[in-house]
Amino acid sequence: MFSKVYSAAISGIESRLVSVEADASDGLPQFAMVGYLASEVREAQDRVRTALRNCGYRLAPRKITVNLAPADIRKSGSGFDLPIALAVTAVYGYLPPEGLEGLFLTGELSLDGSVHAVRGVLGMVMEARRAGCTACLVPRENAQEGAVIQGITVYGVGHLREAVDHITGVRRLQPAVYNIEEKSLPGGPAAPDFADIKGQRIVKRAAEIAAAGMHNLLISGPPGSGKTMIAGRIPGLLPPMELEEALEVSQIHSVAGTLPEDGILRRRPFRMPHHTVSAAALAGGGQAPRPGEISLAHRGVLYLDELPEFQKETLEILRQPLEEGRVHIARSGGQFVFPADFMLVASRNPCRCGYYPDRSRCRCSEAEVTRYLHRISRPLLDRIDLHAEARPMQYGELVGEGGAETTAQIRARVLRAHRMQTERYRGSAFRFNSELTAPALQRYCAIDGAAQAKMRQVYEQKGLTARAYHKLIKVARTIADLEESEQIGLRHLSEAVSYRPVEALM
Amino acid sequence: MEQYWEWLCSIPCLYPRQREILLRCFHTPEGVWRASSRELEYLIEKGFRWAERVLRCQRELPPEKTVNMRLEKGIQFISCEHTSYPERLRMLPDRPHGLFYRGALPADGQPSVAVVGARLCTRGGRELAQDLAASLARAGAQIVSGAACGIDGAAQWAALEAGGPSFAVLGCGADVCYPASHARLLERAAAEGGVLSELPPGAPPVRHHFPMRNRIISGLADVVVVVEARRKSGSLITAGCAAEQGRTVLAVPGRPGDVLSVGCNELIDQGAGIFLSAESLIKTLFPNYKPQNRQLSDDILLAPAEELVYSSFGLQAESLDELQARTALSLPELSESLLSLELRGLIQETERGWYRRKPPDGLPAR
Repeated sequence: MFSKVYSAAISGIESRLVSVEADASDGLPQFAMVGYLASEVREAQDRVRTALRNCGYRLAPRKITVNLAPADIRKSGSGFDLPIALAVTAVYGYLPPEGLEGLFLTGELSLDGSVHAVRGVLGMVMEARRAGCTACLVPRENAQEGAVIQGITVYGVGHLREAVDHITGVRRLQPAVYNIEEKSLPGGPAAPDFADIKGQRIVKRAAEIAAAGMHNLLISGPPGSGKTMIAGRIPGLLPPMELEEALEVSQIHSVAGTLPEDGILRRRPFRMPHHTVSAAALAGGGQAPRPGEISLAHRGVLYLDELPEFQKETLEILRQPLEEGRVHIARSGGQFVFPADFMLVASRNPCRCGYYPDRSRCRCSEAEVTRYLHRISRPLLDRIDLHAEARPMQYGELVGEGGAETTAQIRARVLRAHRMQTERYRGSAFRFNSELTAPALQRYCAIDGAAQAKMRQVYEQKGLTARAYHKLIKVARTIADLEESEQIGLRHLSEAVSYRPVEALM
Repeated sequence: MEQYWEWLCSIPCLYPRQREILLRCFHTPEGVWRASSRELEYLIEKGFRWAERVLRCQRELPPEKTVNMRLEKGIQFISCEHTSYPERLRMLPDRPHGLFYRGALPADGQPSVAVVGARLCTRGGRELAQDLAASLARAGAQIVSGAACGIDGAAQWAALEAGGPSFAVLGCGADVCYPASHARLLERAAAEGGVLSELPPGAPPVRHHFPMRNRIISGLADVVVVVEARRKSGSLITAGCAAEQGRTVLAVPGRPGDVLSVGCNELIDQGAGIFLSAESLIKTLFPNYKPQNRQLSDDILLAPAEELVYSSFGLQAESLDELQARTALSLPELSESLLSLELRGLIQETERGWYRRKPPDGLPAR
């Protein structure tokens, strides 16, 4: 007697279809599992056997063999419990063999037979649809997530017996439905608003420009000046995610197990890893690599508070993702590529105590200040276009009835700038100004004559380098886009000058 | 004679007061060199343990060797008996017995001003020191200071940039670069002014050297200006020495309670002069000097926005944020005006995001 169902193994953020085959034959009573299994999959036999017995299915002592094919990819995770259980049940004749046809299964079993959530369901259902399966049985907690995928029926099961009853037709389950229209508006508590922040006009403006051109941003400033507040509001400036984008991002979060229970992510992610984060946690890793913080921030904002406090090696990992928008991870188990196209927002104190240059509070020597600033490597700083300084808050600013702009007002401008860029870069490899390469600058960044003449003066007077100049042009392009101006004028360039990086302290 | 002076001054860790005792016992440096070991051992027995160093140097470091070692390092030496020894120091009761120097020594006939102050200074203090030193240097004064971080270094750098000579008095050997971050400043001072020290070449910068070198800073100056000083600042020692030596001491007054003005205000309380402006100081030092004021005449036409931005500047550097709050211009407009004012040389960016009006006769670009 032989039976077969489908499940999937996670590899990176992708899922690979795995067929779970079971066979019971004469011989010494045994439960053998083969197919390059990780130890948590091997442990499935005890859970499955006990769960089946506790649900009232008696397994006569025979030699049971379970094979997970293809045998050359490593299977890990707890999602194979349910498919193995059902394949074995079918072998013993509790299920009609045709009931399992085209059925995709995943779920972890408890000893009493209840089914628990697993990671990566979104990707698995996508893979099941691609492989031509007609229905999926997934844990009830993951049903909403799976139901997002159209063109395949997804059922949520809470117990092994429900699954068996559904397949035998004793009691059919209701397919899970995900209503995209209903959930298209990001619900939940309202996102924090820019209007909450008093003062700090320069930093807020820098955040606006950063969001408009997807530039990376570094905010320096003393403690308590609102750096974190501003950074946390940046995702609110970005346009809402299209369904396509939302699925892409949700797939990563699904694998990491950080999806909300009611389906997929609708709001852009904002990740804020603590500065003690390890290299593997930031970039992704593990024996079966899981996405790290930078991938979880894909299409959103990665905020690194207290940048100089991060381990140097950890920060250097950011170089490749910042350049390519994805991260390659090589492990003995294979090569993995995780998307990591995020906007980097970082903050730092101007010195160790945080109060430089306020000399009545800061007693760091100049050498100490320089050393502190130099903790961030040059190549990393080179990938940050906008540098803004937050100032200590004055009492007047703090309590004043400032008519600060709301997120909605700023976002309207940002969205206009995004539209400008979409139109300009239609048919090219670029999407945002920050991605422009040096040759492309010539093509897309027309500077008017008067401004060009002044820029020569600025270049010489401020001692700019070629790299700094290119960054300046990119930022000026975004500032012009915010004003819906096709030409870059002097005003745009001069504003961009004030966000250039501080080359040296003295 | 000169070589014996140099030998005496080159004995490591032998300080002026101890040399004074030796000179009293043996009358001349040569006398010290020729002192018998019995005589020196007698001194040691009497409790002058440091005389051991003299004994050791008599054996291991003869005068020819010290001269050669010094010449290899490109350092010059002058004793207090030499005719070119600075006149300002010659009068002092505790004049250094000899000076090791690179470059030159301050000229006797030229007014010289010491600009000293806190190492951890404020932005305003630094700018004031720079302006003052640059104006003085342009008027023809020599700037003397300690090449320390903060006020000292900033003043000296500004003086050199303005084309005047500047003299750094170190608390270590004249060949030792301290603070290390001021290597460029010291090189340039050696080339266009001088780097001098009372201590022999190779002497390390240790704590107790600095109060001693402060008396040389004040001694070499006609006027000592203290820009910023905390309550227990080394600059106050310099001011104290200056007062004892009969030099004019000027302190930059500050608001009561400002940590960095406490020392200055105390000086004023004790009778120091108040520093009013670079112009008034120049007027006293150089009665005939006419500063070439840059014509801020009517022929410079400013756009209305530029006019507004220019008029919103105070005395000190302002941040972009502050300027925006004052002028209520949008950031692109504001930065356009700032850039245009800057390119015309009316204002300058002191640090990124900080702007100020250029002082009347202009400050060299950093």
